[in-house]
Amino acid sequence: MRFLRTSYAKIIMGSATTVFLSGISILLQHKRAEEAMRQTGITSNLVMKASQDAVWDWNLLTNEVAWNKGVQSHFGYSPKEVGMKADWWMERIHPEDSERILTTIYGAIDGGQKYWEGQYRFRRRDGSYSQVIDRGYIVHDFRSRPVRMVGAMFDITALKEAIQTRDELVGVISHELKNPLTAINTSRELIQRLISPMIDEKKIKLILTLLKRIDVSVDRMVRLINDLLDVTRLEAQAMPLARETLPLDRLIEEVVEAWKIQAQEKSLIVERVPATEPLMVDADPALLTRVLSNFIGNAIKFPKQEV
Amino acid sequence: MIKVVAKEVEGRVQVLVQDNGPGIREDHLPHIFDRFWQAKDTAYKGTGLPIAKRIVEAHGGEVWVSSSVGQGSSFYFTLPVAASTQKRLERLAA
Repeated sequence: MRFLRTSYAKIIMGSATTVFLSGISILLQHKRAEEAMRQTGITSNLVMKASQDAVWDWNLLTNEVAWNKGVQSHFGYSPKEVGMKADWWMERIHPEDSERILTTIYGAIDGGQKYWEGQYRFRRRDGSYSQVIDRGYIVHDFRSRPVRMVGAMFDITALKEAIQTRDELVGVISHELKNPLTAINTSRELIQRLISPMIDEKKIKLILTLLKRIDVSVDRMVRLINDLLDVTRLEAQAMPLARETLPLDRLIEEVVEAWKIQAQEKSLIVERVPATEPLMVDADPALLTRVLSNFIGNAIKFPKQEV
Repeated sequence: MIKVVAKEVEGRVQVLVQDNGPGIREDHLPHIFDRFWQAKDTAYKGTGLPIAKRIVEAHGGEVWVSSSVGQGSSFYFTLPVAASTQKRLERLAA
């Protein structure tokens, strides 16, 4: 304001008309800037209250920063611990990210830009780091000086972890699908070589064995894919349990029966101790069968393997 | 020899699948229900056990294992008894 009046007074020495017009123009400009500041102030106060993210309002003239509660809930700081100065924020940027972030943010402020964005690690109260995306808008006064910056920090730690989990899952699946796929491919090649006009009984027998091997591998792949779909559904909490009241002891009997041949092939005895009661449970029979089948199947499949 | 035992234990149905196989190494035990745990020298990998755990937990039950190398493994899971059985037991107790 004082600055405005001084320059205004200086101009008075010049042409009266020019003075009048430029005076009006400056006053209007000033009023607009003030109004804009007030408006953004109101908006950002509301945003600060409503947002789940860490919203900040940085006064570039005093270097003071006002934070909403998001900075407490996301990063574990108590209201008293949150510093009033921008240094508090800067000190909590991971040392490896600090220089890059401060260079770009001051570059945006001093370079007359309106927007800044950065991704970095921000230290939590417990000393661990959150991955954040920080975005801010720079507010300029009527003389285009940067006076204020308003922004929000989004905690993307969980998102980053989800992406990592997905990548690991893709790795595990490709690895597990590779073995049966290789078995199928090798068997197919062998069969192709065995087929000829002079095919004899010995070769036909070999082909049948190879076809059986393909069957087993296809089964394994189908099982893997079904498992994967189940994991995805369970993960999303979307697996509907088709519950019914059923006797668990009968279900066990059925599953044990289903594994009998494979057990016999390995000369293993599966002994089921029948319960004295039917053991009624409210459960999804298909899913429960998978649990039992997994436990009993493991016991039959892995007896000699070094574990 | 594989033994499958189901019985009621403290208001829950408990199932035990016991084998006298090679057993599971102590340092592997805490991980065999983890989804992405991959040790080269174990048979228990892949998604079977983690899914079994999730299914049982979705039913309100628990899964655990006890094992030692050379002694075989015991896999357990529990489920709440059916609501109807629960009511009948309560009536009997009253």
